[in-house]
Amino acid sequence: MSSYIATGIFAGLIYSMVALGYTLVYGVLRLINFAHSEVLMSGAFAGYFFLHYFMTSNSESTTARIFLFLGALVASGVAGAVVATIVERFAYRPLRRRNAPKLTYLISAIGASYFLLNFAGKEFGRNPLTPPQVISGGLSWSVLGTQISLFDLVLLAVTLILFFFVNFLVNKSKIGRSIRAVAQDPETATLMGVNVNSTIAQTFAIGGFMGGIAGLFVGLSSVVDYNMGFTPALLAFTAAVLGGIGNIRGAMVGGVVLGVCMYVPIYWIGQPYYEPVIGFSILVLVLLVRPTGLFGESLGRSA
Amino acid sequence: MSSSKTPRTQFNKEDARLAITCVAGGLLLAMMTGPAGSAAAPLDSAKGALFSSHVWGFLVFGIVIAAYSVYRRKVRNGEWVSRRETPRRSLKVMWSDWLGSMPLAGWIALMVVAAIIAVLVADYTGPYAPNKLSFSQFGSQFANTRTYGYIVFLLWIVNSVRLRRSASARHGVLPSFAKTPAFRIGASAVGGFLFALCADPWLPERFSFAYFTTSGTSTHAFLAHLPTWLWTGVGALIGLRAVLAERKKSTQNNRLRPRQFNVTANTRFALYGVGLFAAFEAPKYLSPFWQEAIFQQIGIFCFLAIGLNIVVGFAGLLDLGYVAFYALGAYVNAYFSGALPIRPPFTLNPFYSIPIAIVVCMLAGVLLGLPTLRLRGDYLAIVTLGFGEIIYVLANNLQNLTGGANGSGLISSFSMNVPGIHFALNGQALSQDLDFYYLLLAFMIPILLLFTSLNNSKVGRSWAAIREDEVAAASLGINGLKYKVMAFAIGASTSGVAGVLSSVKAGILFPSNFALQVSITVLVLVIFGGMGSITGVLIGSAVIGWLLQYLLFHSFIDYQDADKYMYIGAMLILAMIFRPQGLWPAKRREREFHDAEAGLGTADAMGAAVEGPLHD
Amino acid sequence: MTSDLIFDVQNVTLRFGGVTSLNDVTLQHRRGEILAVIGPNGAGKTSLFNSLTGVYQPQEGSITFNSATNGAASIIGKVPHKVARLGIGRTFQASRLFNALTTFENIKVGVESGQKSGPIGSMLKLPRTRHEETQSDERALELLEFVGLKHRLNTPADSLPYGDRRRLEIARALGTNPEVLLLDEPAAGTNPSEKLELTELIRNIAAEFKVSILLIEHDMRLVMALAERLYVLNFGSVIAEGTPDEIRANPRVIEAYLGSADAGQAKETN
Repeated sequence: MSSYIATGIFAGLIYSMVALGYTLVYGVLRLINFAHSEVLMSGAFAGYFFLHYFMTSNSESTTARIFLFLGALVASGVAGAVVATIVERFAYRPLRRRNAPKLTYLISAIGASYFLLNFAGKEFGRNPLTPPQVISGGLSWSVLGTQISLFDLVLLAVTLILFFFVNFLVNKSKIGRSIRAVAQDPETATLMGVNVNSTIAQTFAIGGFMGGIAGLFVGLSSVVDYNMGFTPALLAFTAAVLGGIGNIRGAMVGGVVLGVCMYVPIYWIGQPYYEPVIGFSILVLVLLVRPTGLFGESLGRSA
Repeated sequence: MSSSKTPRTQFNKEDARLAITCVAGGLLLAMMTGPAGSAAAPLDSAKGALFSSHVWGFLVFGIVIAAYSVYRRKVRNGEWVSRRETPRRSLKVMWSDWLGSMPLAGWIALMVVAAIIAVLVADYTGPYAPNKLSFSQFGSQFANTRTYGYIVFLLWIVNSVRLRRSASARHGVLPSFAKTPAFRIGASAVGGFLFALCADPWLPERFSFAYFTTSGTSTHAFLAHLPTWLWTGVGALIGLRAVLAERKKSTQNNRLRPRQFNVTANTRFALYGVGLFAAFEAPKYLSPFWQEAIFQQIGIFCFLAIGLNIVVGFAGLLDLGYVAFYALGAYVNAYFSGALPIRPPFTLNPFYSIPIAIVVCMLAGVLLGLPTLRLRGDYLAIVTLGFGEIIYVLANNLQNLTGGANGSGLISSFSMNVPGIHFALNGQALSQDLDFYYLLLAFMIPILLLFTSLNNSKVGRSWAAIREDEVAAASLGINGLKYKVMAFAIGASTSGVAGVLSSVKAGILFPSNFALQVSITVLVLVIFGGMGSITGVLIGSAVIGWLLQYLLFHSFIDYQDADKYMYIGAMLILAMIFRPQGLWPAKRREREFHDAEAGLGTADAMGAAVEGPLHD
Repeated sequence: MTSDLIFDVQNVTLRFGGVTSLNDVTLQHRRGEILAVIGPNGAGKTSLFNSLTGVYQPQEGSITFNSATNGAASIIGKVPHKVARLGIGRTFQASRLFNALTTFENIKVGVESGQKSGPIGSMLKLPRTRHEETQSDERALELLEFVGLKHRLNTPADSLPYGDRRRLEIARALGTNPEVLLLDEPAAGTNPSEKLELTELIRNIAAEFKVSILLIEHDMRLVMALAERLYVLNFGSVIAEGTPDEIRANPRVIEAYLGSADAGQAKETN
């Protein structure tokens, strides 16, 4: 049982990372970035290619592995940020200029997601790819009746660092102030001298960075595939809603809670493919019972 | 009645040119319908034609047209100025006065003249004969059914003019049953029938009435010839419309429904008639490429698109899990055909699965919609997306229920044994594609009619109101949730019917048929074609279905079939940037988009019900 | 016995986070009267309207609507469309018309919202649906004529001039056959001649349709001409109530609008 909880927590951490991206974009644009799933996928591919080319054998030294891992992190994060910014620039900004109705944004987002997904399939092939295991899988510790591997710890560490980083960014830095201003009132923000367009681009970039890194972790724990972004992103969205969309702390907590709620019932049901079903049911439940989430929506304010 | 001639009213070179053109046109027609001639002595036959009454008729025709054209031109250019003290009334006014005051006897005389003209027209549009005005030639026309068609047609025109012009015509000598709508519709139908006889080139030139009395293939062939009945139907509908128009005219201010009984509506009506005819006839003559395209792609696309149009186009909601209802319908049919591992209590012909599928999908739509349609639009999109995924995952994994990824068993083919109609379809044979297409058409046409009348009713207006401004609609007592769920359920049930029909065609169900791609593709059809307009959606389906099929055979560099979704995605983005309302949007929807961009209202029902009216 | 009051608002308090929008507001609207609510900007007038129509849910107090046909009903806790069904119509400060629909269709939506025909009847054009359709056509035409917009029958609503838009909104709200009509600044942005026409129109509405009218307005001339009684709000509280003459002389009102120094001056000149 405790292994299910552990699996849930660590899967949830990945969802949290992606959820942070959703939450940030929603905060500034009141828009669900459907293409975020492709950001995840592109991060995974970037990480895969990096490792594929630079990690020549499976018996690298620990220091080499650390550098490789960091490199992969950066590669995937940057790839995610780039893709997110491109999507914003080409799929959303023209619509913003035209003051398009909300339906148009959503449809454009779906189009972007679809395009990127199939583009990746076309360019990189439709067969799943396995990235080299940069984090050696041998090590594991026994904690509270379950096995925690090095991978899990690294994941935890990276997630926490990212969370604190984003928290700091949004609350204390100038960029963060601009983001919060735009989230509350774009027109007044413009009057106050905030460059709304570049702020929004930066928001997407930050969210994309995290999404890309999450993609790397997903790729490392399973396979890299052009289709891979869809389900994790959907579940991450559930996490964002569960925590309270627009709320950074909520995204963090929501992911973990969701992960646990998704995996624990498998202990009783026994059929793994039911996970997304549970996740989806949780989404519907949350939206029915408490659509503002655990922590409530916040207009770009942190936590 | 002569006007004094000033230099301006004389014929000038322009008029001469016009007149000569018309007369020459008449002669040309004569030559075109003249004798075939012989290669050895072509001119001889031409000369022979020139001195026959065949030519004289067309010449007269040309002269009449010339005179009329010149007259019209002069009137339009204001050249025809009269120097009389009392201004000359226009020909048109005089004509309508005269018509309006004509007694019934005059009308009967006019009809006799019209009948003679009709026979002449039949005569002259028939095959070449050197002397078209001889009595024997004339008489022989009456053996042709075409002649009767022309007679009835011209009589019908005269009668319509009579009904419109003379107010007291209706109280005339006609027996009372002739004034009933049924009679008039029936008469129009007969008119259509006879029109088919003269219009349809399939029918032999000399079609004798003996064909009706003797049994045998010719009568059956004639009566089984579909266009005949189509034209009959068109005639009946024209009669119906005339009846309704008269009723409306007498009771209400016509301007209330500007779109219904005016010229534009007439043209549209005629175009739909032509479209219907084409839909029936054209597929028979198409190449296999087209047949495959139509029967496999466009047909089901249209069905799904019409259903999704209700949700996205009419109600303005974004449903991304539409494929779930499609799958549901298909699996219901599979279940009742005994094709699933789980046995049904009784097996049913797919025809009877359709009502069950409708009910099941409607229920599913309501159950899914009630909780989720309260949500904001983007949440709704995600939830429906998730729902579609769930259905796919379940279909793939519940082996005991659905046969899993390996597919279900064989689905029985469609047959209908209602008394009077015996119809059987073997879903497997490719040659039965045509029958399947007609089956689809048979379901689609009533659905089109139903949905069009739905859109023009209170429900359609309520949907428009909710799309525009849900808060204002609520202040009028309109329950947004109810109408959204209604749209959702109706869309779902249409999808269910499509599912049943396509499952019959496919024979075996694979869950991979019901992947997310289908939802997105149908969404593209609706959006690309034109949101909210049924015609637009059909056009969109046709265009994209064609495109997908075309690309299979004429792909450009590096294109594979699996890539099509990439281009679909790109198309969506471009469409939203450049033309969000689609190719052929409903006028109202297009206005809504323009208004939304200017800041007036929203073009969709995406906002939460209480968006926040203004504070002080 | 139906109450004399059509709206009985008792001690209503409405809060948004830290801001108190309505503070212990008590208001009584008698049946058949034209009642006006005035006050400086931000006083809570539209919040009051929103509370009366179910858009906002006050935390304290009670709002009772005494319908002549259906008896008393509490407004708090009901959703806006149910409140509208009780017989309360309203217009909005910035007119919220259905812009892509024509003038006629706008009113028709209002009229037919109370009808019972559903999707089956609409699809199959059943007799009852057709009958209701004819009826709503006639009623909409009547209303259109009443507000003087018949010449704009088929104009899309976004093409209407401003004054016509206001009138259309009123006509649409009337289509639901309300017992009380809440007009939120109907004369905002109109020129003097339009204001005169509006005054006439509102008076005619009150007389012909037997509706009670609750009016928010800033134009004092219009208010004084129309209203039989006034309530004055400031910072969410009722600071005065009475006939137009009483209010004109009330020092608290003058102070709220003009500031205390002028209040003293006004007192002296009186």
